[in-house]
Amino acid sequence: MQRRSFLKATASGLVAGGMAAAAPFTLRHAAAQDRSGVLVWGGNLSSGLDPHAVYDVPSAFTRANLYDSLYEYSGAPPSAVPTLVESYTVSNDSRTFEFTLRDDVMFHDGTVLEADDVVYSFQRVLALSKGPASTFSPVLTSESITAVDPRTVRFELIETFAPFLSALPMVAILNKELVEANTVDGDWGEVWLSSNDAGSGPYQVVEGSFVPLDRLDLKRFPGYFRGFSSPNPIEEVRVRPVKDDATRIFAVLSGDIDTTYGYIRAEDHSRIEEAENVRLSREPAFRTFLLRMHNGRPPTNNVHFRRAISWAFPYDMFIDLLLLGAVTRNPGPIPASLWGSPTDLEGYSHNMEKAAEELELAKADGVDITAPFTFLALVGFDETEQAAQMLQSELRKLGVTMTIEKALWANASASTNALETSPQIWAHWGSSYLIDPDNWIGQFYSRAALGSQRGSSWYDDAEVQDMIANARSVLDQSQREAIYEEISRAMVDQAVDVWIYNSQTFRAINTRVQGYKPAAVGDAVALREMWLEG
Amino acid sequence: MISFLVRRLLQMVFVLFGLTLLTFALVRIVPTDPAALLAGENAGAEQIEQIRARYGFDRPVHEQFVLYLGQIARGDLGRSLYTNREVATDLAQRLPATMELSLVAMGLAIGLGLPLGVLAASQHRGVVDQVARVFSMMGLAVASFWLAIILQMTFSLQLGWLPLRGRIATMAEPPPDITGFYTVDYLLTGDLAGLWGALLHLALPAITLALPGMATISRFVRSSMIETLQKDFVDYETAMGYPRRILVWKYVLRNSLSSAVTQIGLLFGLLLSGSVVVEAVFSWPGLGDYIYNGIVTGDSNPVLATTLLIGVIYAVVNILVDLTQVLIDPRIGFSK
Repeated sequence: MQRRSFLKATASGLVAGGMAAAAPFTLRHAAAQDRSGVLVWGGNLSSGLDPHAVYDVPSAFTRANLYDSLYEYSGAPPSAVPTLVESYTVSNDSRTFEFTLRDDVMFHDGTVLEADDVVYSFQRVLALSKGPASTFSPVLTSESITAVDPRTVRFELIETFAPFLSALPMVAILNKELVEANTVDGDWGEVWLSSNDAGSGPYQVVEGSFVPLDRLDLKRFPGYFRGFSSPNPIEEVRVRPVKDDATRIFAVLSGDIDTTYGYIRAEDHSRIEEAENVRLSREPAFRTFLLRMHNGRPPTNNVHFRRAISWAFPYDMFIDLLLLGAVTRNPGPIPASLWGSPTDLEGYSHNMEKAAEELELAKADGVDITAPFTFLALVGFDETEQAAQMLQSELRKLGVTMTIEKALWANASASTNALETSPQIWAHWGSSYLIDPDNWIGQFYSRAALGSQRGSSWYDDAEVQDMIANARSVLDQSQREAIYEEISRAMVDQAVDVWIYNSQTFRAINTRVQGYKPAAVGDAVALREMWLEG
Repeated sequence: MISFLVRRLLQMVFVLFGLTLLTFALVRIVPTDPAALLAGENAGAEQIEQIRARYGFDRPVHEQFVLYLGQIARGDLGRSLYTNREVATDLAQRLPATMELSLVAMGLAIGLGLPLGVLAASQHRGVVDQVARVFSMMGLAVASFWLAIILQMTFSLQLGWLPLRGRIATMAEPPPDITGFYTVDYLLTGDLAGLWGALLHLALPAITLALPGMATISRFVRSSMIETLQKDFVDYETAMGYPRRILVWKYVLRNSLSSAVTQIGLLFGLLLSGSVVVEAVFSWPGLGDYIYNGIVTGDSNPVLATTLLIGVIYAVVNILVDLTQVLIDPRIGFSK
């Protein structure tokens, strides 16, 4: 045999052998993809698992399924209903609440949930001063939460806080003993909890499975006190976030993931709806989109100038042409589908004549309408830039010059910390953290919000501030509703911001996923109510 | 050689100091507020102030820089404000993923780009040369994200041959952590099915990342080879009847490799930076994905540490390139 022939024969043999050897591995590899009883959640992954340190849309998924709170949101529109609480009493001055806890709740390690765990959890929220803390710190101190007995916990509020029960779902109850055992240098177990769980929820973390930005595995907790909706519940959940828009659609269409996150782009809707194995879930959401105007600096500190901007924005074109009608117009600060938003509130529409009239009034007030001002759009959120461009085009017709700059969310948000650096006008979404009008009024427009991203309008009208305080102190919902309606009308009249729309959530879901119900807050879907077919 | 290495390592320390200073200045000059990031979207002004004081963000920038230098000198890369985990732990998990992808991509780029360049040069202006030129132009012109999507649509969605995303299949278990390179770890533990799965997952991102490098290498090898082929020694050896194949692949190629090796060193840096896009499209949990998230969330410690790490890798690769050049052409010597 010649040398060349020998080499060729050897190479061919190696290739053939390699392919033959690879074949069974391919089959074995495919067999490893048997996913019965396993849900692959393709939504965004929380940056950490500590429910008191992270409080955003993705973290609601882990908080809702790893933990329980005293109350949770239920129904449509959502309201807070008891979860860990059997009954409660409230004092005449509405400042002292006593909750009797259920006696059948166990943490994942088998420890029974008691009042001490509740006290510890709230004290931890206040001590960390992150996530949900800002809602409770004005009305609670560490000493004002006490365990009366193992099943009774008492909250003594510094002042009446009407949204108190509505805010309770924000705080996950932790296993005190377990967290304390993993506390290092007085860190309240923060480092340990960022990758582990200490909850009583229907699912628990598979140890060591959490890799931020990449993966998390959950397994069912058979001892969950409320049980599961199906006799064949989901046994395992593998969270596998997909960052790229195109890959996300490919992944759900190919069955690689069972669900996507809730912000599927309008241009992808038809493709999903045409697919046989996937459906598009259109869900009402309490997530408003608004342009924040700096009420503390010229020219937007002039009410006529702000009204001119409000009349100049092309709402219908933005919603119908750009967003393909996937959202609904929201004329005021509170989502129109929630109580507290006046049903007859018309707000502003695209009317260039009225905008020109208001500009004349602004000029009469001494505003230099030719002086350029800047709109800060957000990098990676194209919608904010598109809104800026549309507004810029309309204002140009009126002789007003608005320039557009772009910034990362982190930078834009940081610039709102001071009156001088806060953007003249910028856009962001107002997500729901508690389902109560206070989420969009008190937390956006009260004095306490100044110097934070949510208070970036720098709005400080004394009369409205009194009304906000009043709405927080009255317990009767019909009275509060009337106050919030009055606040909404006053703020719309003063054109504090440009309120544009209330979102819908669009999530692509594989048809094998059954029992899925939209979440009231963020990604807080209830896995225990879901099951898989096939 | 030892004095050469010592000299280069000392230079590397200065370069890394400069890199750290520059990156630190950049992440601090941009108006990001790490305290606001830590406090969360729902935080009030009072909360943000408390956190700023607790983490020392209220100190002067130069003081923060000195503290940071002391920290990294002790091997402490800090904690991610976003994940609340040690940055060193995150990097230890993510570096092997990026290195594995980059090395496979580099292997593909060299393994295919080098022979293509040689063939194109040895058949100068022939069919192979024309095809190689078109291929090189395409490789350099095609955007990575576009190529990635086309590859995904073709090989994952249409043909179903290769996985769409990720480092391993959703239901597969990662190998025991020995080197962090999944292919190596599966091999070391004798899990050949796992190895095959990891190789399949590497295919599309590696091809996407390799294509521009492959084009660059083939172009450099081709032009160097054409130049070398015109030298006297080639005419002499040809006249002496030396076999053309040995002449081209052994002597002409060796004399032409110097510039290509320099390019390979530079390309490694490009592969690491190019991984930002490729990792995002293929959900590849590497450094690119990590630093991108650090930038958009204003999380400075991961950005600083990843930049420093990439700087170290880049500097080491360049030292290796210099050593390789001396091995290829001893006339260069270690004194330069």
